[in-house]
Amino acid sequence: MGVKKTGRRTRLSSKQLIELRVNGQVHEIAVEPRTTLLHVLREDLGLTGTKEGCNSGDCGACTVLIDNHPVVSCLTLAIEAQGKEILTIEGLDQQGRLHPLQQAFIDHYAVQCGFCTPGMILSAKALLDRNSHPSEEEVREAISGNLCRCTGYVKIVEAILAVANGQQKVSI
Amino acid sequence: MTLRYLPDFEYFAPKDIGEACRLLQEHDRQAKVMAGGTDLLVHMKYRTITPQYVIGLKHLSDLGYIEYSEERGLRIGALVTHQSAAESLIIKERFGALGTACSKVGTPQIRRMGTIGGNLCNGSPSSDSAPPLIALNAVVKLLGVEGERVIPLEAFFVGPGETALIAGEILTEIQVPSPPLRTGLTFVKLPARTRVDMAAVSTAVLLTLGLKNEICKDIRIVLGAVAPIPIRARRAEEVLRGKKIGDQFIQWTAQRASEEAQPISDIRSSADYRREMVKVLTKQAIKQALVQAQSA
Repeated sequence: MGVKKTGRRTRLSSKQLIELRVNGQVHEIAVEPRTTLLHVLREDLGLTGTKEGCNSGDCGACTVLIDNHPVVSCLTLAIEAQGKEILTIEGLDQQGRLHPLQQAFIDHYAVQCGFCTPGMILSAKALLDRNSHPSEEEVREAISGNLCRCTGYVKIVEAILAVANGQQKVSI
Repeated sequence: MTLRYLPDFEYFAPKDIGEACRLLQEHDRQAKVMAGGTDLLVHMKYRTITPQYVIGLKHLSDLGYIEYSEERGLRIGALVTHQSAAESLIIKERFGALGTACSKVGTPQIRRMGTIGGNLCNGSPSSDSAPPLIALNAVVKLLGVEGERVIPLEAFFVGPGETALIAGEILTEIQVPSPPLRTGLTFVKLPARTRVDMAAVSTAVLLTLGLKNEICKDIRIVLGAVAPIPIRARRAEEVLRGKKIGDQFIQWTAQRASEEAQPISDIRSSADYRREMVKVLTKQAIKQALVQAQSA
């Protein structure tokens, strides 16, 4: 299956121009079919908040919201993300004012190395947008696709529950 | 091998499923269809599958339906995501264990992207939706350029990663007949970790009681992840079928099921542990199905 490996493989596809709507802004980018959304976000749009972790859909570091659903951008083809609303971590703050979840993660020491944090916050946002008063079990289920090697998750869950219980103030 | 880049391919976005079949037929071994992409793109990143042509199906919105009627039963379009199935009230009400199985697939992100059809076509014996669907006597509709055929899901799995799909065929629908009255359906999954893992062992049981008695009118036991394909534990079923259900018979049934399993040792579990867990899960699943059937 596939082209015989004789060195440089003959190019099967050429770039095409696509439009992606990211954080409320429309961007026109030239991509190959094989270009993932993760790659476009980081390399073409300079939005490096979305992280490349395992690159195979397990760790959740590349999580973004598409039409308000959490997905892994490493397994999303850029060409298939056309016509959708894409939200990255950069799209959360409002003119410099941190989203309550962002502030809660800071206040509750839910960030250590920070690598899982963007994906974690977006998964949490998707949860709270659907279920504004989740149980701890529901929070843990919602972030089960976002691996954290630093914190042990306790403070992360605490931060999310604090926002859910209205204990979190929006930053000034 | 770096996972960073997918291999090069040409992408088609067919306007309907018929065109998808024609493209698949035309390019045969050089092409793969892609639904959610959560299995295919991983295979491609690892270079275990390298199609020159990828036929995208994600945009075909008319294959995302979940419909139910008493006469026709449940019909699930191949592109229904695991999350949609897990949230579906129709499925929750009458086919609860199927919804449970779908809710245990992968991660929330993967459930949003991956489809039931795609998962079945991946042909893994650890598929979560396969055991309850097979227990429910599901059939699958396969569309090719020549036309359609319908085969039992039980016959769809042929080997690890292998299905009964022939060249140019695409799975379009899963059909589940309405279960009879006084039927319980359960699915139990034992992953190696608590979350985000494939099953080390899984068991689905469909149990039908006599209308006016506690005799086991019918039982279907399906074991996942302990054989090259999801398997029916037919000899175990014979132990209980037609008998009055009691602890001793359940014990014997579970014992027989563990003997029918053909587990291997791998990163998730040892063969011995899997075999023992088949017994434990089967017993658990039968007991839960019994309670459901009694209150149905």
